[in-house]
Amino acid sequence: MSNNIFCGELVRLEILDPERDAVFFHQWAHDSEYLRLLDSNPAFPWPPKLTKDFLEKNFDQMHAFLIRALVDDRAIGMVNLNDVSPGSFNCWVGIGIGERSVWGQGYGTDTMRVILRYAFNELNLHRVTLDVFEYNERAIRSYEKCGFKVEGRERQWLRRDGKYHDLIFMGILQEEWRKHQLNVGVKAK
Amino acid sequence: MIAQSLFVGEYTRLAPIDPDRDAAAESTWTHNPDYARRISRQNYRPLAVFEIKKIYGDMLKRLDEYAACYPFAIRRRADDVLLGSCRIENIQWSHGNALLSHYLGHPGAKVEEWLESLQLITAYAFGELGLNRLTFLICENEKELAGYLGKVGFIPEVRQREMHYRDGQYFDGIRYGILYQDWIAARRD
Repeated sequence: MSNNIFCGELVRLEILDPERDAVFFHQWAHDSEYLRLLDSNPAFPWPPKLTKDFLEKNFDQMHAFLIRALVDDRAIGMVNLNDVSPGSFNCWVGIGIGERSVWGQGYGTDTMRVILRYAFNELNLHRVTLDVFEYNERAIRSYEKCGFKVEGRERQWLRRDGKYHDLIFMGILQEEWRKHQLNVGVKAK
Repeated sequence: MIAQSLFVGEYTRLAPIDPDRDAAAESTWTHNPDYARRISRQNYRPLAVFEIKKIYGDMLKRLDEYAACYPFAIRRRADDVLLGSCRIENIQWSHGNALLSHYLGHPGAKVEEWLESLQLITAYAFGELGLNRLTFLICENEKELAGYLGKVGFIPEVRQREMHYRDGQYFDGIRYGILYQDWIAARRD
C-alpha cells in the first residue's frame, strides 16, 4: 500500500474541483439507473453550471473527492464525507461510481476502504454512517465487505415506479473497523 | 372534517413562530442539549438569541422558497405561554417522507401537552400535507419522549449505535417512524 493515504489498490482520491469536475457529474447524470441508485431526488440530467454551483455552495460542509482509477487515471465517480466539523465524532459517507463500465469490479469497495481509513486514521472519527436503498443490493454487499453493519430500515421511505422501498441504515465504529482490518489481513494470508 | 381545527387542541395549539417574542425563552431552553439538538443539528451547545432568530429566518425561507419546512410554536391554550416548538422538514414530496421534530422546552410542560401537541403535528403531516411517512430522531436516553412517540403510533426502526455523546458516554440514536397506515390504525385504537 502506498504512503499516500488517499490511494488504494484500485483507486486514488483527488480533491474535487467543482469547476473542472462538474462535467463528469453531468456525463454520469445521463444515466438514470445511476441517479436512482445514488440519490432520492428525482432523477434529472443537471446542467454542468448548476452542478458546479451546487458543489461550490456545499463544499465546506463535505470532504468531497473525485475517484480516479489507478489503471488509466480515468475519473469514475465521487465520494464524500458529510457533517464533518471540529468536535464531530460521526459523519455520513456518500459514494457514487458514475462510470458504469467499471461496476462490479471492486472500485467502489476499494474507494470505501480508502475513505474509511481517512475517516478513522486521520480524522479520528468514532463512527461512520450511511444509508442505502434496499434495491441497491450490490452496494449493500460492498459496504458489508468493508465492515459496515445494518442498523435498521426506515419503511416505505422511497417511492419509485409506483412502489415503496425501504431505506437501510448502516454504520461502522472505529473499533469495529480496526478489528475488521485485522481480519481482512488474516484472510489475505 | 374540514371544520375541525388543525391547529387547536384541548390543551395546546400550534401557533405561528414568532422569533421576536419567543427567541429569548428558546435560548434559555437550549441549555438543555436535547432541546438545542432539535433547534440546530450543527450545534450541541446553548444558542444565543440572535442565532435562534437566524435559524427561524432560514426555516421561513425554506418554507417560502421550497415548501420544505413547516415550523410551529407550541403554546398552552389557556394562557398562551410558549411550551416548545415543532416542525416538519426535509420534506421529499415525490416520496411522501419527511422529518418531524417536536420538543417542549418549558420545564412545566405536562404529559397531556406533550402528547396532544405531538398528535396535532402528526395529524397535520398526514391529514394536511398528505405525507406517507414521518421520521423522528431521538437519543436512547430520552425515555419519556420515546413513550410519547409510542402512544402516537411511532415505532423504532433504526438503532444507530453510539451516535450521541453525553456526559462522557456514548448513547445510541434511535430513528422512529410512522406510516400513514400506522397513524390511521392508532387513531382507530
